[in-house]
Amino acid sequence: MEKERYIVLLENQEKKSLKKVENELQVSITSSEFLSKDNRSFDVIDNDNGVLYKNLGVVVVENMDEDQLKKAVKDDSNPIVYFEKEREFFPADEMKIISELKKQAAEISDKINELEQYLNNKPIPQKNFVEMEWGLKAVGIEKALYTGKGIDVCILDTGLDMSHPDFASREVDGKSFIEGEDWNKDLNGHGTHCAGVSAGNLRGDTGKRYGIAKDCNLKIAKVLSNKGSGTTSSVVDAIDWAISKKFRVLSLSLAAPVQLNEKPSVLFETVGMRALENNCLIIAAAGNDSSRPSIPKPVSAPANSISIMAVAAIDGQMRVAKFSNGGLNPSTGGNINVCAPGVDVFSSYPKGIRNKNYYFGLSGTSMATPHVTGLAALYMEQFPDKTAKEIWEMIETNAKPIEGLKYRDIGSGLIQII
Amino acid sequence: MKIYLAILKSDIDLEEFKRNLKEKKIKFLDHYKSVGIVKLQSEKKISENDFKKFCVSIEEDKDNLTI
Repeated sequence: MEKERYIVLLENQEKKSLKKVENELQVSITSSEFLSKDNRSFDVIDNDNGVLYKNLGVVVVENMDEDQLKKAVKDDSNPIVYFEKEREFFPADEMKIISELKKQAAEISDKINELEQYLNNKPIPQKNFVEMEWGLKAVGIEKALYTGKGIDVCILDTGLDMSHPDFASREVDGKSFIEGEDWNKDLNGHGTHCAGVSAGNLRGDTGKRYGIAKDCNLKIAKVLSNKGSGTTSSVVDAIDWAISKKFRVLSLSLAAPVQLNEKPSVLFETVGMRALENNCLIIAAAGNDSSRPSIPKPVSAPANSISIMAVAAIDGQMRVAKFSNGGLNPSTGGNINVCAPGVDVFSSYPKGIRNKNYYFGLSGTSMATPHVTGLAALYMEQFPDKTAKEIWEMIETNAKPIEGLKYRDIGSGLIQII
Repeated sequence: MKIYLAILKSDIDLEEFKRNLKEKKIKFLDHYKSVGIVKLQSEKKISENDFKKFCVSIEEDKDNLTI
């Protein structure tokens, strides 16, 4: 039978206490002071004898009943305060330690590889060292993981200055719906500015970022003349062309004022609905007819159609732009859906029209609209299975309300990256 | 001459519609198939009532869109 020894700690070593222990454990205790080289502890300790190490207050006994020892510890009147089984100690085997360390190192190495693989595959946002226009910061572009790659975005406006250095090397398709005026020239500048906000990238002079969806497939429909005006039929013609080409987002920074309680055009309502049925989202400017705070005006056409997304403008202090139209005709449609930066927005611009370089600052719901268009392209790249209608809902759901501003003026709020 | 935009009803006989237009001396200019709209030209004002069989609505083209 294997010997099991116990180390028993005593509260005191009074004779009375030692006697009690001897009686309870049915052993005879020899004090360590009587041990010698001819009378060693292992010669003494057996089933009937234990040794008391006086300096330690410890008794070593053999083959005890553990339950009995446990009871003794719990009993306050008993001098035994603690016990434990004797432990075995072995000399360290160096090779065994090395073998164990190697095994642990291999396990850690596997974990490191696993972590490395996870980090390599995870789309980590690049730390942004690029300066940005305030509008891009306001919608959270620094957090963007997408660039609109593969998404066809069409700007219906005054055309695009294809000689602009930011677009000259890009592949851009277009069509003019204005007789005698080319889509790839922009003697007005408005279209080039809007295209820049949606699909531009970095300024050539300062390196500051001003565009949202730099990798989208930019398409241009010239529906406004160089004077900046156009007809309903030109816009309908262009939308028909864009849908037939399966473009995903159409940006309309154009508007015609409407009166209070004026019903939206059935024509644009139908066009917007057919676009959505064809997985195409139309986003339009709410218009710039207001003189806030005293005179807000209703959302213009075609943004007042419920099948077309209406965009209001805010400034850098998160206030409604004084010119931005509001949802004053809610019973007939004509709500604002979201708002976006639209005051002092810097973007690409043809050189020499109003400026000495290739960039210019403009204000208007026209500038707010392409922010939403660019964001829609990012969402569409991020969620390729979502329909145009679902993307619209997501843009509104993720928009951020602005404290103190009304739904009437900013709809669901300031658009945001997700 | 004025330009009109008409939203077509679904499942109409386009040829019959064109014949009707011709009878009334209305010129058929274009058909925007993706959105189901046609572009018409007429000297006289086109009455929606005359084309209820074919069109949901008819609106005169406007030159009022601006930047």
